[in-house]
Amino acid sequence: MSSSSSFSSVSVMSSRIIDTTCAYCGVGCGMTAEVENQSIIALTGDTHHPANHGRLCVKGSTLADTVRTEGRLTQPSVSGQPVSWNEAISTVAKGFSDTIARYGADAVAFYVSGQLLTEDYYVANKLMKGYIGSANIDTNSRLCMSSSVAGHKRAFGSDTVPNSYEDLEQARLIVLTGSNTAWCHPVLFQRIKHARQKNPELKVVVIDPRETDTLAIADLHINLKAGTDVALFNGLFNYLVQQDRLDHQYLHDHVNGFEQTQTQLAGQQRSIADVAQQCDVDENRIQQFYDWFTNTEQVVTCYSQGVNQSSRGTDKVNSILNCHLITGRIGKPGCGPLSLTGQPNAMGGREVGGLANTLAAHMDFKEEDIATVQQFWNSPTIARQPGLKAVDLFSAVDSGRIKAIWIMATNPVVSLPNASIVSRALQRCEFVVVSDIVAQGDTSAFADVLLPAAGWGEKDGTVTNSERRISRQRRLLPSPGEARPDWRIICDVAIAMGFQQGFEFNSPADIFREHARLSGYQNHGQRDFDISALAEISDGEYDTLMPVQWPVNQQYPDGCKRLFKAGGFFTPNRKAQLIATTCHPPQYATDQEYPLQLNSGRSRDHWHTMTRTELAVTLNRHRSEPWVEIHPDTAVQYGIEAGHWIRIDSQWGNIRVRATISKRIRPEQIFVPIHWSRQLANSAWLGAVVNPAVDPFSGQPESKHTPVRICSWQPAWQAKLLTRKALPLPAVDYCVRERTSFGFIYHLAGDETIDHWQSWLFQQFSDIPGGLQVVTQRNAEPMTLRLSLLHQQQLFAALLVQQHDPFNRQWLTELFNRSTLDGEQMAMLLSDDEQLANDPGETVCSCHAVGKNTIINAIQSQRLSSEKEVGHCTRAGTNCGSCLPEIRALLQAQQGLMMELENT
Amino acid sequence: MKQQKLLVIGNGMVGHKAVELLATQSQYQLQVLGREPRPAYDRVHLSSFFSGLGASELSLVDDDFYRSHGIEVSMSCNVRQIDRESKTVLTEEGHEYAYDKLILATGSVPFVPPVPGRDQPHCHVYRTIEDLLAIQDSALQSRVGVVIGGGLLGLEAAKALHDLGLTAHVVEFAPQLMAVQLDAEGGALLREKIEALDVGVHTGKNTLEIIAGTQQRYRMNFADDTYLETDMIVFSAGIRPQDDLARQAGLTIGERGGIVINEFCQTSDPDIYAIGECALRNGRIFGLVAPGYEMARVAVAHLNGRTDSCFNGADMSTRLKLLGVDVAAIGDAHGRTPDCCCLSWLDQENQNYQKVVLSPDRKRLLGAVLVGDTKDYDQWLPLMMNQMELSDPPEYMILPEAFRQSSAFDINSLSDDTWVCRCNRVNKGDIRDAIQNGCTDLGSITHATGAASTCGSCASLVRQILQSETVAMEASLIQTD
Repeated sequence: MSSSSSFSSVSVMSSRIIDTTCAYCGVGCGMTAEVENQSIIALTGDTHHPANHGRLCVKGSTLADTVRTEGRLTQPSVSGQPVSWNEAISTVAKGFSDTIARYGADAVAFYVSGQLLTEDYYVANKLMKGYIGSANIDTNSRLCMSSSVAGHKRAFGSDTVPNSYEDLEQARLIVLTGSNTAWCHPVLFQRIKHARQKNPELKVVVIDPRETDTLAIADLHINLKAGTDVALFNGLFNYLVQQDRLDHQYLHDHVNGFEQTQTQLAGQQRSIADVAQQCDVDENRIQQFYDWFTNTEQVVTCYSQGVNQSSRGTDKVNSILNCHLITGRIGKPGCGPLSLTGQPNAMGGREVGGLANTLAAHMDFKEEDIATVQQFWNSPTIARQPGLKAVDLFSAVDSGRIKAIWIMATNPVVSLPNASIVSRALQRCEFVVVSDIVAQGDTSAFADVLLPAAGWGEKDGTVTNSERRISRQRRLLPSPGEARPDWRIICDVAIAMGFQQGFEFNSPADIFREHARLSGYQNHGQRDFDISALAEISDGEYDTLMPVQWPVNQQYPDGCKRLFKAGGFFTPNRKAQLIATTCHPPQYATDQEYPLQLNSGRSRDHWHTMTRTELAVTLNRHRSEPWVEIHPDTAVQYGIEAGHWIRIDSQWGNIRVRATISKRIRPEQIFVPIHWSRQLANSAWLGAVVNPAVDPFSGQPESKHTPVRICSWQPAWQAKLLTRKALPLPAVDYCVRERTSFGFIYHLAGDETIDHWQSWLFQQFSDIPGGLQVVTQRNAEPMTLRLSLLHQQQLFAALLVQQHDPFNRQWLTELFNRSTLDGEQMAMLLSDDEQLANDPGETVCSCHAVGKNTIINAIQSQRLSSEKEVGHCTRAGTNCGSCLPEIRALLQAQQGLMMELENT
Repeated sequence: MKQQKLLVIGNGMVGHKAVELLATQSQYQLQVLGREPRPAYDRVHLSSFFSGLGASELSLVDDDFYRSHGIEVSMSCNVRQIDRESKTVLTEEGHEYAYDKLILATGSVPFVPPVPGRDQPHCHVYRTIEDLLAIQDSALQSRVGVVIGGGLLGLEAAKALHDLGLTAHVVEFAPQLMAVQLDAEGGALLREKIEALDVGVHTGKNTLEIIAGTQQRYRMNFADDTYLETDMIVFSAGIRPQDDLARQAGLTIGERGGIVINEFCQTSDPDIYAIGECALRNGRIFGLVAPGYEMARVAVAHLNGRTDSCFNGADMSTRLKLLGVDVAAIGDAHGRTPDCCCLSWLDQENQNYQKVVLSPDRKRLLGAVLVGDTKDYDQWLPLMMNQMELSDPPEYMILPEAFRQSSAFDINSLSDDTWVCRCNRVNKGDIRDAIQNGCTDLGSITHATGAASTCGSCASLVRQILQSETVAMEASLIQTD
């Protein structure tokens, strides 16, 4: 670290300023941290970083709140017993070596993550493929963008993102398809929004079955039926052909298969009417989209999970790429396809070969690649064929073919589809190793060996964002306890397995140089991924490495913004390949028994399985409970009202969540967020409901479409439990934990009446010396119980059991924020006052904790008409701006309401 | 006209109350038959027997009471049968007594659950002075004693064993102590307090058998596979109405025992009355002395030809000191009134529990539970009994005094017809009259009105009235000066 401080950090008083990269999505925003006394005192957007130019979203701006020792895994353990690192490493090494000796190399597997740094990823891949000799290493990126990888490779011969973020500013038309950019890539959303303000000509088309907040910047919404993307883009292909708006020169020089594709596609989606019917979208909208696309040279098409997470994800990607290739709109300023990846280092993982079907450094399992890599590694063995992809990999664990697995930095028990099979598989597996930063997790519960890993801000390395930009993540703080960086753990295990020679790395910089060398090794321009210009950088240069877009080689010593403008694809004849795709419905169709389509995705302020975002109080404000979004017609059909609990059943599993009713979803679909793990909610395990269908090329699961049925569940009671400290989830039918400023709120509901709340709470707080005071109010009909636990007049817990929802969060929070309550406040806890029913509503602005009802009241009472006025009156939306689309929607809804009133 | 013969069977507290009333208020010729060897004594304070109060101090009957009132009495007398046709009563001893009117005040018997081994030596019940003598005798040969039954009497019995120097335990079938009077929270705090006195408390225990012990004389095996060793056992698992005679005489008996009575305490035979714990009114047995006395008053009034007083049930409010722990329950302590609202305050640190049960509009007090500090009982009981509208927000009633807005209770707000002593039917007006007639202390008021002479739970309220009246009188004196 001393070298780091001399190069990349500047001493300001006693604090240090260190640049790094955000831990969240694939945008890869640069950040500037101010660190003092081993804590981050400020974290802001890095104004010099090309990905964000200083912008941060709400998750990024609260990242420092998530860097804490609370809940961290700090010591290695074997079978639940704390052990030394030496013992843990040798246990892992022996577990794997013995399994390999008895059952062969394919009886072991690694399941890794887009959260790992490139250096961690590199050594994990090297160990599995070059030393163990199996390709059974797959990553959670499989769930995220493997269809893009497969699509890129089919079209380009390589997994190459041809364009840059700055093309978003130069485009005249931006197509956002299968991407809720506003929530999932908020900084790119802001860049597009800004570009639109600067250039009123810029049009934005959003293609999504749902109306998301991304529509706030849309000129046109194509609310297509789920799974019909290929029809839409094939129709566009045909329209471009019909209108003869092709780049014939580009087609001739750089593209294979036009005739054949044209012929095949001509048979499908012949007219706009065909497309409109197939996609179930108004014909005019299709016409408008096609016209804009046809007549605009500068088009960027961004696509994300809505495209990728499908049993036809790869075809969807290729149907998009086809349209860009035949118009030559690729690799030029303002033109090109742009896959938006979900994870901070999904791209880095792709580069090292972290997917089971790639080898290393964008090389595959071709004979010459295998030879090249083995020669470079000088390794004892090498995997000769692709390994098992995520879903198959866990099926192999379940069937006993894989007997030892090492899971790093990911939570497959929550995130994989048909997740109850994953948990059963881990239960059955003979040897499960989990490296993680948190002590309690749905996956770590199955670990035989638990290894404490260093988290964001505690380790050094590189990540690659969606535009191929390699940025440094830098160490800001020491790791808690005995946590170590993943690369170190992996190398130690490799050495303990006897692979001294390949793993004697002293630093991430060492690994990075080898990775860079391999990328250039026998490359000769044959492979897109080439950062050989960085192969000889010094430790100091590594420490000060500026964000750079690969390739970084002799030809592009300073990196490269765009590729393929003049062809140069990585297919045998260096021409891109058009793929004649056909629109197929999702693998599992809805039927009478399971008539609705379950769609899934992110919530605005949460990330993956919430192990990080849950730690930031601010990020828990937006949505305190998981929910299901249902169209009003569907709600009427099932007799469901807003706030009702809904049981959702697929043939794979079920969950219970609460209903939000909204016209923003199609009647045949419902939507549920992915985030809530069983650590935080006992009945929202979405992974267990999602079907196990996967794309045949990419192996990516069809997480956006599962046939389900729903029914209303009316619990006998519901409750809010507010406490100063975390408690084990009570064993009731529905329980969700929410972190808040003073502690936690548990949202509870159940069928069976609970009589023992008081003694249960006493047990939880039995550590408080001197005894508790309890004030209770109990009504028989309607059944309510309000129980407050105090110690020396300080409120420690409050339980409100009632039949209806309202509870005044703000007022109770104020009581919790006091060190002692006076008589009046204690009496209030027992009063019949309506105070407890005044609900500020679900949070819209997380930064300033402003609720929906507060904003609506302000709009109504003060006749507000703009986001700015709302900000002025309520402060909502005045910080990061992530909630501005929601405020705008509220304004529109209220204005609509007023107009209706005036009309009547 | 020939003087009518009135026979009273049973000479417990309630039977005796009837006799007392009849002695001064009626023209009947009285005959009393008692089964115990001695005349009526104070069963409420039975455990004081162990703390040195002798049988004579407990006695409720002055030496020459019967003689001076011309009442015939037979003690140690076991009635065998009632012949309703000939209106005669036959005793085991072969005596026959004729009656015109008959009062059954046979009381109750302790319930002994059918546990194998219950008939062995050193297994007792807790009802009479004779039982106490036997317990005292066993205690001399024992180190550990167990009471089966964690109700009011069981805890009294446990105190007795504790005072006799034994390691005492209470074994209760229900999940809490005093389940009849207290709610779960109150029961839990009472348990804590009792355990703090080194009396073992074992709730939720179903005793399966009593066999020879290894450490102590006996071993009690419970249904949950646990056990407890002890040298002696006292059964105090509730009471059963003593209704054998009535049964045999063909009077109507309740499904689960008890002699069915009407509002005048008449049984199905209009010439036979039943009062006290043997009587069943509206499906309930009343195991407290105050309702027993009330029944005695109603029956006597009816025997005197009056129909203006009725017995239709009684308030079971009670205030006790159990093993040194103050416990009180008022009215609907369990909050069983539909739509009622319960507020409670439990202070683990100061070992206090207060609960109020309120009407749905929160304006009236329906019931309460107090454990630890029961001084609010005095104020709350009249609020409940007289259905008074609460003057302050009820939430302040249960908060510790430091947090209360006002003292909440003004003794002057009680009207003159507010009941103060329910055992002896004394209202506030009666006490005021007594004070104005020169009573200056509790003793003299008790003597004059009977207030606080039975269960004693109203004593402090009487004192407060005394104090407030004295202040008022002094003030008016100063003014007239």
